[in-house]
Amino acid sequence: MKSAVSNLLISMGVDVNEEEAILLESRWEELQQLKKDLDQVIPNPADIALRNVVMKEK
Amino acid sequence: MSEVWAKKTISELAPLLQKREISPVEVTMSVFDRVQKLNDSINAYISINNEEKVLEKAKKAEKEIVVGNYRGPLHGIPLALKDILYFKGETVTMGSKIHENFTPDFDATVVAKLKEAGSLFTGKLNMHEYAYGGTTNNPHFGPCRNPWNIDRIPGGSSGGSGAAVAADMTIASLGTDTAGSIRIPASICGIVGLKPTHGLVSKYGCFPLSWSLDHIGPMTKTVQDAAILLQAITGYDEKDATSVASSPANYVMSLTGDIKGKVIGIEEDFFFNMIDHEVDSLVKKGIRKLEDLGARIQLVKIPSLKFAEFAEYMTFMSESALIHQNNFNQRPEDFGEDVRQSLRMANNPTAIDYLQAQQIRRRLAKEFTMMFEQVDVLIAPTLPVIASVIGEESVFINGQECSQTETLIRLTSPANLVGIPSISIPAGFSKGLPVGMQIMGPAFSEKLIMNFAFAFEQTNPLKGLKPVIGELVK
Amino acid sequence: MSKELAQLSISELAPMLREREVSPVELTQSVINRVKALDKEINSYVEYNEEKAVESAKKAEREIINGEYKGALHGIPMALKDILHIKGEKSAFGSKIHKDFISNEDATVVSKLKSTGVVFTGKLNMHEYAWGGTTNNPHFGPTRNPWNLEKIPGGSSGGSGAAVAADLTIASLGTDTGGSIRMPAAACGIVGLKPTHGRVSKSGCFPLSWSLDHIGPMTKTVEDAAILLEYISGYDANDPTTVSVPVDQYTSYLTGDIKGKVIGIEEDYFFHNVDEKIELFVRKAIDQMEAMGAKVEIVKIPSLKYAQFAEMMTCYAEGGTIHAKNIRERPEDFGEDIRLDVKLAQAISSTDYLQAQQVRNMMKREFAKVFEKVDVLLAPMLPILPPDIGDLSANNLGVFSCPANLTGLPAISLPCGMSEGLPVGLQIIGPAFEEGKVLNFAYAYEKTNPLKGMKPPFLMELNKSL
Repeated sequence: MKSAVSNLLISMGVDVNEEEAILLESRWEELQQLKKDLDQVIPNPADIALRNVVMKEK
Repeated sequence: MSEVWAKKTISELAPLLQKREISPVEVTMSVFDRVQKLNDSINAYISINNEEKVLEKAKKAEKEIVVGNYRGPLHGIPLALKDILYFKGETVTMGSKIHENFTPDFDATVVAKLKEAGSLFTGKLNMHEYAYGGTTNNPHFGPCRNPWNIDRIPGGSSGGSGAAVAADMTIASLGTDTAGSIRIPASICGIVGLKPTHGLVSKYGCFPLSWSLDHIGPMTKTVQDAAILLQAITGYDEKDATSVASSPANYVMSLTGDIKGKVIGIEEDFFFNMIDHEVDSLVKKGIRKLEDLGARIQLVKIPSLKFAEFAEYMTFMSESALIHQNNFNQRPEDFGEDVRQSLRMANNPTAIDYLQAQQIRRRLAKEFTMMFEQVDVLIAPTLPVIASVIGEESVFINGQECSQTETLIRLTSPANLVGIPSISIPAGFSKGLPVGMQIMGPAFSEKLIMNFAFAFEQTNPLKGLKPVIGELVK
Repeated sequence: MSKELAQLSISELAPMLREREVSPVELTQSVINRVKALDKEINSYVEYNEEKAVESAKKAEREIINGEYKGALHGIPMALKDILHIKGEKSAFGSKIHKDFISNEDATVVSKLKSTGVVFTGKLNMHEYAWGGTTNNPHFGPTRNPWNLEKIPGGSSGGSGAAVAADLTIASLGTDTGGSIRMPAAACGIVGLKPTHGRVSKSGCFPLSWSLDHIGPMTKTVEDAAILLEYISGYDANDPTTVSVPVDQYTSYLTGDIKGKVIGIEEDYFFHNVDEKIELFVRKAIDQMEAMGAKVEIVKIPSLKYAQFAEMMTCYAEGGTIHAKNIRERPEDFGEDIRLDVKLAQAISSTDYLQAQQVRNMMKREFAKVFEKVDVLLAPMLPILPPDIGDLSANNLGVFSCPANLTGLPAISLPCGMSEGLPVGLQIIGPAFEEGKVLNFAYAYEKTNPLKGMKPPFLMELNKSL
């Protein structure tokens, strides 16, 4: 039985075999752990300074 | 009688105020009069300020002007802004239930600038919830109605601004534009709406929908008024990391109406594809009028436009999903249904989808830049359609059924994707409802596109008609 | 000659070349001879071309004899990480998919080096597509650490690290996305500098993660790094992320004087879970710098808690975009270790990516505040000593490297001691575009000669037979 992340990948056209599925799941979990409690740290939704270098500055 | 002042423009009122022929108090009372009379039918205002308190401020402005302390064309002018811009100590709802009691403790930069310029504020204008839609059919505050036909939408998300300006319930307004939300209501309500260059106007203190697509801009009765407002709100702001430094410009002075020798670009595969026949012919008629004024036409191609829709959706879905993530996880039922649906979207964009969208934007920006080396401006319809009936989910274009939202944002999104300025101006009527035409130019070419708009405006495309609401007649 | 020519640094060789005491041809031959004799063991080169190198050296020799001396790099033999396009030459980027790819343009940094008379000796091994820190490359074989052939040289610029350490090149350029210049510099006991983001043009460099990638020098000495930085920096219209900040004369900052300067130490992140010996050497280095007149201040940078989250999400998302097509169409052609990562990357959500950018924004602000009070930040480079080749448990090597990538701040690694026969690296991070300050701190410390002139032992043996 494949995990959510494996199913997601398959639906995107990325092959995942049984062995990979297990490794992917554990790596995915590790990644998700890295952002524990992050929601409390970022206060203001407007605070990102996402610079899309779409225009050259004058 | 007091309706007279509410129906005027900033540029008509300013000299009268400056010369003390009229008082800010009279103008403000006139606007409040119309608001009391019409807001039940139109619902352009989410909250109307306490008239007494505003009149006190108007008196103060009057005193300042009387002692010779005239601050400029916005001094003593009553405005109402889209309820997405922060006012210190006042409730700003973003048209939502979740923020219905939100009270910021600082002014948005543009609000501070307008206060500094001496403007007065009559209230806060209705909008699509969190700016996330184009109908302003707001489930918490009631739908805003089109003054030209109250069964129809005023457009959105700055629908309240569009309706209020069209119905003279405010002298002028500011809206926000992420996929067209200034220009869509401007087109639908038959007024002027300008989305400036990305970064020209500070977004500090404006609740975001999608950081890299959001813009703040004026919504006004005339092009000259848009120029006046733009002048007041531009400027580098270190508090907004997307703000860019621009050299000071006098937008009002550049409105000469002279466009002789200028080249108008027409792109047909995207901007004139799937357009209602009447809209198409009105806009083309408008372009011909500009030719009569001395401009010439050149056909252009912008191949990456076929990916514009993907890029727009991936970008704003991703950015807005993060902005609303916490609330959506904790209290989804407090969102209006359409916004909730949008946030729930079956296929959550992946980071790669988002980044591919950014790659498309860069390509598109390059193509626009190259195109603007051949032509001065790009002109197109603002919308493929006229106002639909409130509550309709789909619209018909020449008999073919299309999704409402996609149709509304289709032609306006490219200017958001690449950050170039675009102004929508009335081009005429179809079936009694306004049709808008948009003029786009290269980054920081607001003077150029407003001058084109001004030239066209002089040909009086709406023939001086105003909406007829209820028992009130022009 | 007590030392072979190949064992000298740029700053030692330049005056000799300029004064025509040494010919670029003998120098190049010296390097190539070492490569032929030693690289079988180390495997730092993916490809070298003796004929071409000697031809190029002859051209440099002619120019110098004719009085057309171009500067410190004229006639210096260098090999670059195989991630930079060199016109007309094969660039595999450590991969099988690009095994036969021939570049049709020079990378901007390559063209800068060419115009200043550098002699290219070959291309250096790297972790496949720069996506990893071991340089255990399944297609080109693992590169080995010259100090201990069983150990990794670090990565992804492992070939560059090993080659510089073993004197198989006078100097090199690497790339750094999450530590890939600085980690091999630490593991191989050399100097590696990641400049400020936007200082050096990335045009013509195969990307891993656009917003995290940097190109930088990997050298034997701090002065060499400063020299190289002068030549490769500058605004480039072909790379819109470059900035018009004027290029400093970095060598002029190298006074060795750090009296009165303030060193910041952040302990919650940078000294958490570090090998004891490594921490010891780093603290000793800090003491030595205090003895030189610098002051120490403890600082706090709370957003570092999410540094790894931000690095992983950003690198995976951006790298995943680059390889999105190939991972669907020909996954088996990716090496096994990176194949899984590239697949995982496809599933990262856009909100995670954007949240990572929010963390970066916070981190930039916090670092900027810290640099109002301190001149530089000192920290370990690696959390552990270089592990065995093939040891899969070592997957957190970049923990101390990534903050400088996330914030784009300049950071250098240089040796500060030896433990169990392996070098230990010290990291110095500075404010944006103040490479001169960072280099000077490194220079001051370097003068204490932390490695005491030691070189990899097995090479000492082999040297005798050369």
